[in-house]
Amino acid sequence: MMPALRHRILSLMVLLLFASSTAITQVTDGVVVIGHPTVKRLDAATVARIYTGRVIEVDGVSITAINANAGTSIRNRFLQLFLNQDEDKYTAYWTVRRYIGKGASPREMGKSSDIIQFVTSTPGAIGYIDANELRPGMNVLLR
Amino acid sequence: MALVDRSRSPLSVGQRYLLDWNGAEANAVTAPVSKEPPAGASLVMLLITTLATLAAMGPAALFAADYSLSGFGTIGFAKSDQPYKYQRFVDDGGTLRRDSVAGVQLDAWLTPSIGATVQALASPSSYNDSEFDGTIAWAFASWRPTNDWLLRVGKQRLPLYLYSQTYNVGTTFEFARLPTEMYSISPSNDYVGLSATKTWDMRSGELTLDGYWGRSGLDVRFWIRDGMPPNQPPSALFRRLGIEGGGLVLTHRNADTTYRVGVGRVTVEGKGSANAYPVTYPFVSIAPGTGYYQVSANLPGPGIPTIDRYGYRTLTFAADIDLDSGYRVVTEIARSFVTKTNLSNQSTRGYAALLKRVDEWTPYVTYAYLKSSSGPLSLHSKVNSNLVPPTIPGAAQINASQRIGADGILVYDQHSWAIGTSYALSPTSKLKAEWMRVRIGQVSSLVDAPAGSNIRNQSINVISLSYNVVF
Repeated sequence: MMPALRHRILSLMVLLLFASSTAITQVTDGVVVIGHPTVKRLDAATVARIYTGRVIEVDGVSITAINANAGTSIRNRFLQLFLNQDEDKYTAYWTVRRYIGKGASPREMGKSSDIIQFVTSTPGAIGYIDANELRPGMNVLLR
Repeated sequence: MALVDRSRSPLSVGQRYLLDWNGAEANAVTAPVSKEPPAGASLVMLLITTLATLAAMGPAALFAADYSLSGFGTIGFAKSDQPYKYQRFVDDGGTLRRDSVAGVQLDAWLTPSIGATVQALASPSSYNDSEFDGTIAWAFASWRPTNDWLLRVGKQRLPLYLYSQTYNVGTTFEFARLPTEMYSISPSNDYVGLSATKTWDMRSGELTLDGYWGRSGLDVRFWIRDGMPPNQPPSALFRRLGIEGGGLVLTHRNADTTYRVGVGRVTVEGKGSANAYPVTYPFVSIAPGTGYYQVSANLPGPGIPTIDRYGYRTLTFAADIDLDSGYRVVTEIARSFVTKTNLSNQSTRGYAALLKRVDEWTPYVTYAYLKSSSGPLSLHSKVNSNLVPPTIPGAAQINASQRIGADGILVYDQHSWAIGTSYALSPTSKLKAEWMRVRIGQVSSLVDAPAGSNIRNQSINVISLSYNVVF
């Protein structure tokens, strides 16, 4: 292979690698979706559909989603990254959904330790925490 | 059909109250209240059934269920520049009754896929103009066997219009009041029955097909403008109708737009003693160029042709489109068809609204339109304007009967412009203000015309203010 071509391919690979890592950083932004061991890895679209009530089971497992309390930084980041919504829009979405009889928004928990405790002990549960709070052994569904 | 609002609206039917207006039934008019409370024993039974469904799954399951209690409310003030009432309550004295409503809703889930919902509502009565009424608006059990299917049984609300399911929850829309021309004329929004929803995820968004079938009761309100001389002053008369039928609604939704088309067909029949509908009022000639319409069985004539029930078909189209830069267009159109009687509320109706979100403010302008079909409008016009000369024996009574007969044909010819805004105090509360100018054309049964008058070619200005909250 000619040196020029090799250099071009190498540059392209580096560029792709950089772009890829940038994309990952943009997607997760320090937010990690965790779940009970019964739940397998999820993609971002499925996470969004779970938190908007459109998916209640994945691969035969009934999903129980947990939200952080409204107004918290982690929740705002999660909504922005995975649902492309702010708190107002998310609340409005669930208000309509509740009053057309299609359920209520996911249960909320104030402390990340409560979310971790619930998720690790409840089959089918998923939640999200800050990446800094990840501990060994947690089932990471998306990061 | 004259309105009884809060999503129950009256259908136009002739009935014995009107046909026998000067007979024994007239006594019922002095207390113009339906004999069958709409939220009666059947709803209690429904509630019990729903709870029993949960209980049948075992006490342990019941106690293990997740519960969520929520509520909503609107305090709304409306005032017009006219002394007569519009939409039952609105006149120049102002009222809190037109738009005020409160409700609570309990959602329970035994599992993520099995649940039940009960919603209790307090609002102005649908069968009495002077009382508030408590009703069970929702009471159903639901099951989602998969992500894409939702099955429900019990009392629920039609998804026929964009906002018909959240009609009472003011925070779910920006308008101070959903356009009356569109939302107050449906045969019924609530029903007891079954529904199935199938959802498809598509690259362009989400496609949902709702199918429903069920029964419901409907309160019909007639405004008898001249009363029943000599004993009965002008007053509203209510009748209860039974509705049975179903429909399909197809909705495509993504983050920016919603499109919806719907088709429904119901059978309407009377309840209680008034179970026959006039097809028309035959004209009885008593002299060359003069005569009367036989609006009552007590009037001499060939007899009034009647039917026991009639079909009511509705086609709807709706769109909610995000235009970028905060602009949004919302429009809905509906056309109803009734073939067997001229005393129905078949009509064409719709509205278009342009909204612009600016931070917490969402100002809007709306144009709404409602017009009955030519058959009912023509019959109303002819009966209402018919007079026999005073030289005819009993002329005064005959002429009075014509106007009462006309009041039994609920027809509409009106449009309105509205300018308003909502202001979001928080994600769960909104203030709203609106100025609306309604133009009445030939006639509108949404107006309580004063005794001896016809309200036509007039404008009504209505100012509305409301505070809406969910919690």
